[in-house]
Amino acid sequence: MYAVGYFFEILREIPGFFLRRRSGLRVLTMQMLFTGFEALPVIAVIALGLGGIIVIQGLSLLPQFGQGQLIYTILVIVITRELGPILAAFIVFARSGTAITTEIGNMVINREIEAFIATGINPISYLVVPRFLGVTLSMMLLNVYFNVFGLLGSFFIAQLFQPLPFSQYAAGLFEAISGADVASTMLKSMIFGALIATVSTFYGFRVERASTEIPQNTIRSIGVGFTLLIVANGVLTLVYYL
Amino acid sequence: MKFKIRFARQIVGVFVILGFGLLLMIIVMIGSNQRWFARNYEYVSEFQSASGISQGMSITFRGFQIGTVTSIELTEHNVVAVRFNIFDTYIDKVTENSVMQLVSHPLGFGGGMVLHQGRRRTDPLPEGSLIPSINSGLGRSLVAQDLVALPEEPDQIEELLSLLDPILRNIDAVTQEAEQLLAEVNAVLAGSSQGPLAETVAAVNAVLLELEVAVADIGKIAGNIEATTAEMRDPTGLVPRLLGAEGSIARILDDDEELYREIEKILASVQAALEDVQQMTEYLVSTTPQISGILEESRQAIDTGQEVLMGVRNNPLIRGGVPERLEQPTTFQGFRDEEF
Amino acid sequence: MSGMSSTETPATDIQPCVRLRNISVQFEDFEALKDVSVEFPLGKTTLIMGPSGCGKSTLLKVAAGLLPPDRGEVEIAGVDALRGRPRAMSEMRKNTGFVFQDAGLWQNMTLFDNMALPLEFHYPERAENVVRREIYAWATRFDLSSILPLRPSTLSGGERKLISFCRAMILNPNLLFLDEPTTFVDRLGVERMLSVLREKKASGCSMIGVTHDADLTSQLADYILVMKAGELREFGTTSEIARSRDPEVREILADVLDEAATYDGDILDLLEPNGDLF
Repeated sequence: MYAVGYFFEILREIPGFFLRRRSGLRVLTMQMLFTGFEALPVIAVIALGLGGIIVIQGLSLLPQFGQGQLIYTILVIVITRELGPILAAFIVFARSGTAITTEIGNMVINREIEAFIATGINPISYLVVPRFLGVTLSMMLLNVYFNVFGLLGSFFIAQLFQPLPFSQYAAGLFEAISGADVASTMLKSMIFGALIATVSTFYGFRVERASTEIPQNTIRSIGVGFTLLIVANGVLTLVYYL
Repeated sequence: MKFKIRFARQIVGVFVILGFGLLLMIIVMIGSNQRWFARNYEYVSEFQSASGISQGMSITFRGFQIGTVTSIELTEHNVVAVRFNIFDTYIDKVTENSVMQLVSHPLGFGGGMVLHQGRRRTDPLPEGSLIPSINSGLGRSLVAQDLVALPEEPDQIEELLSLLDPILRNIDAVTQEAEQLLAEVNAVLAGSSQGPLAETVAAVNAVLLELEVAVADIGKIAGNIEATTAEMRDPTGLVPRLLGAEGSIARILDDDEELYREIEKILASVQAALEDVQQMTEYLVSTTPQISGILEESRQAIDTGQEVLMGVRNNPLIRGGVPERLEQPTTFQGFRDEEF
Repeated sequence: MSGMSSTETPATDIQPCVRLRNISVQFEDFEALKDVSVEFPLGKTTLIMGPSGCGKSTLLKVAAGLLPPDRGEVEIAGVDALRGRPRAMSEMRKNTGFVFQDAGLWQNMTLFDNMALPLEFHYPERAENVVRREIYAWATRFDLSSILPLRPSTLSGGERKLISFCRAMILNPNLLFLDEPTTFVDRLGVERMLSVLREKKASGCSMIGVTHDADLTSQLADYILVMKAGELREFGTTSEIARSRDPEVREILADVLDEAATYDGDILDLLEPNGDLF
């Protein structure tokens, strides 16, 4: 319940961020560098692998019952609609969520949070909002990259099995993907990003005095965060099909 | 400071711009693939009845979809106004004197709204203009003046016949196979005792005779249908003649009634023929297990015979004995196991 | 607490800058503050004294609104620090400064950024070079301008303290909280700090501090608040407290202010007949 209030507190502080761009922008940039850019290699590897596996399995299985064309639909469903956002979210959570919890926890121990309050800098507005925006934006962008890598990777893997021109592959793919798919995947990654940022900062602030609380809260944030991600994914998928 | 930190702003900038660029590209690709940005041209047509017309119905020209029906409404004058879009890639097909036709397929599938181009090559009609339906006064007069390029559509009955043809050929093939089978069975059973097997063979022979008769029937029916088609062709040829010089609508209507009766008769005979075919197919189906049962039993008999021969050859007194043999599982159950 | 007339606010006609009412703070099983009520006078310097672990720092943090008490009310510059609207709180904080006992610098920022952030946050419209000039002005005053690009972890305790002090000063506060500002700071640093604080005091800045430093006390203190074991022992003007007959207070003062407290009350009376030390 307190966490919900915390979430709305973040939302309330977001407009202020755009008024005080200069100080927050640096934090936002750094957050996006660490969360977005640095996660790119992992995302690329996983996306390429996933796309490859789908194509390998699909091309050996689907033509058996004459549904070769279904490979595009499966790619779109798995990469764009389902696994793309959630896998990217897991990676971002494991990388940046834990980092944020640890960092904020350390700041609490070092009395840096008190220093923020004392100088009249709202920790939510200075620490959380840029991270919130940064993680959310990075999440959405990583999702785009995940899709690009996943769908491109599957093309290159497909090339090994049955060479087909890119134009044909692209046509098949863009026939299968719909605007609703893109909207759904972007909405998902946006919500996942917001969720990751909220949970990880929230547990960072839960640290009170001892530095041993930092790993404890990090573990707790991972447990709660992953659960929430899966639940949110389920709910969003349900909404999509309703 | 590390390179990454120093150029954080630039790196993140590229990351963000590239990401959004890719997203935009994907959206544009989807859009262009699914015609989000293509401009559509709207036209109107008027029909007497909305039955058979639905929203979203595709508009075709020589089998290509060139547009969709966007809305149907009943006007004050009890005319059904049908609004439809033509895709911009096909806009040049909508020339002056074009007419619309609602085509319904006699078998209940396919069909749709068809555009018939005007004969003269002109610039496309301005958006929102009326394209008359082929049955309206305007449309009929356009057709009468031979301003509309009507494609030579294949006769529908002929189409039906062409559908029947492969069925007949199939039946023929089945008959041939059955005959072959029987020949084989006969060959196998030749010289053996006159048990139930022979009786069944006789029965099968009878079946085959009946089959032949049925095939002959079908041939006759087909002949009938062809005859009726010929008759049909004549009245259809009548239509333009009536529309042209003599122009007596009452007479056309009279003729039309005749025509309908004719068509009704033809359809009835076609149905009868189809029923015959169905009966025959059913009969064939029901006899198939019997035949296969016979085959199976004879195969087993041969196997046993082979075994005996092998046994004799390998007689322990003479040689090694009966060898172990792997039983090949049969695909069919035995004749007696089959439930009828 | 009852029966101790000296714990009452000494001068009711003086408007308080910070008003604390019935504050209790509990750290797990340890009661750090027990029902403390205090009004810190506006425009004056109040120093909190007492033996280690008596709750001085806790009281200061509660007074600065950094530590929400378990019970009681806190009012800073007329704003309810516990239930006040965030905007009013932010406005109020713009004009307060806090020097932390352990400096409380932001570890992953350079010292320059540590000083720049409050300015950038509260005055986003200020141009970058103005901010830079202001920061260098403060740093030069403490001879720190050469270390500004460094991070706090590379500094000595004294340097950190001075940066923390500069950071508190940069917003030009009219209410200053000082938590042992002089510890670890060398003589010269303390001298420079004192000169700044004297200027602030002259310009009417209210100050509340915790210190063991005799110089600071003798040069700045208007009021002294004596604490013991989470309770308010005595609160009064410097001369009143210096003349206290309470043996415990005298003992505490002797610890904190080795010189001033050794004077006999009567001698003080002779020296300062008005009871006004400065």
